[in-house]
Amino acid sequence: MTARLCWTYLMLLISSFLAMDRVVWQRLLVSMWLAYVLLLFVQSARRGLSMRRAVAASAALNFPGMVMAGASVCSLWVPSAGGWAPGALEFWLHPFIPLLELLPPGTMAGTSDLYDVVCLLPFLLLGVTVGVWFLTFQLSHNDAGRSSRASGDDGY
Amino acid sequence: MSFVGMLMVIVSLSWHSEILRHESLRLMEATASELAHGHLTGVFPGSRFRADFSILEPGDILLCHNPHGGYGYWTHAVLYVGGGQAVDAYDFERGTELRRVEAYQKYAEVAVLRAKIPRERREHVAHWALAEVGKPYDPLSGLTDTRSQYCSKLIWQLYGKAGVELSPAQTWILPDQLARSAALAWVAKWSVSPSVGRDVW
Repeated sequence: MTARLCWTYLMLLISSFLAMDRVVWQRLLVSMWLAYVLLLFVQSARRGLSMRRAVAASAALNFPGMVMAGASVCSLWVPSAGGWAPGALEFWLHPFIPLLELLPPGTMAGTSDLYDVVCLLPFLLLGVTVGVWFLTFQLSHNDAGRSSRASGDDGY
Repeated sequence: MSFVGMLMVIVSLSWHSEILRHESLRLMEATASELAHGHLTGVFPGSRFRADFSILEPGDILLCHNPHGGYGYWTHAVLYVGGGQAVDAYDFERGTELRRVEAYQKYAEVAVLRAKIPRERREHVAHWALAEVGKPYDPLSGLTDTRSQYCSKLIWQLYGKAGVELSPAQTWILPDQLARSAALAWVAKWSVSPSVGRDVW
């Protein structure tokens, strides 16, 4: 699952760069990818993938973004660090920018709102994917419990 | 899924074969080479030149140069909007913002270019530029995308809205393309180099 997530993200990254100036296509690509990732976590929960493996897969996918976001935020207080970390962050998470730029533009405490959201994005993605896994797992577990109870009742 | 992924790449690539053109490749090569050296906007000289910004008029374009810039000779471009301020789409962290023109004295060289249209229309451009403040910065945004900006694209788009094509539409609009524009007249140039000093045309 981790390999599949990373591979599809790399595909998304390349496609998004090549589709420069085709914003609708870029938005469609990232929406499809997000839907695919969520579906993957739903399926994995239904198939009984453990919580630990689900978190590991999502963390592996989001780890580069988390590191870049952390380094980028730190670089705001270290002028000598230059623009390396924010630049790397922007390139790495660029597929999401055509979608995120639909949010109302603005600045907060001197930084662009889009920059703030992009810094939070890897953490949000981790939370959402693990949350989806957890909810699906709970629902599947409850359904399974209910059906086994129902079949047990039939037995008596 | 791999097949769908490859298909996505191929469709995007077929749409964007222009990226493989000579000029784009040269830009990528220059950018990569300067990234390897640790800078994209060139090397700031560490000293400031003397400039008379009172000659600026709303709608004027300031081109900034630093040696060893990854984007070409002119490494940055901003639009003067009056009141000693310019609209500047410089980096991802801050997005598009208003900056005092004195901030550009840290560059090695600054040139002032003026569109060959009536002052009233240039003032309209300056007025529209104020509405761009707060928009995010994205150097990979396309020319038709008005939600994100980068320095020279912002200027190109606003003058395009005023009916002035500063340069033909390409994948990227660079400050060097603005410098070559026949629609612009050179007004002044300031430099840290004492031999260059201030030139006024």
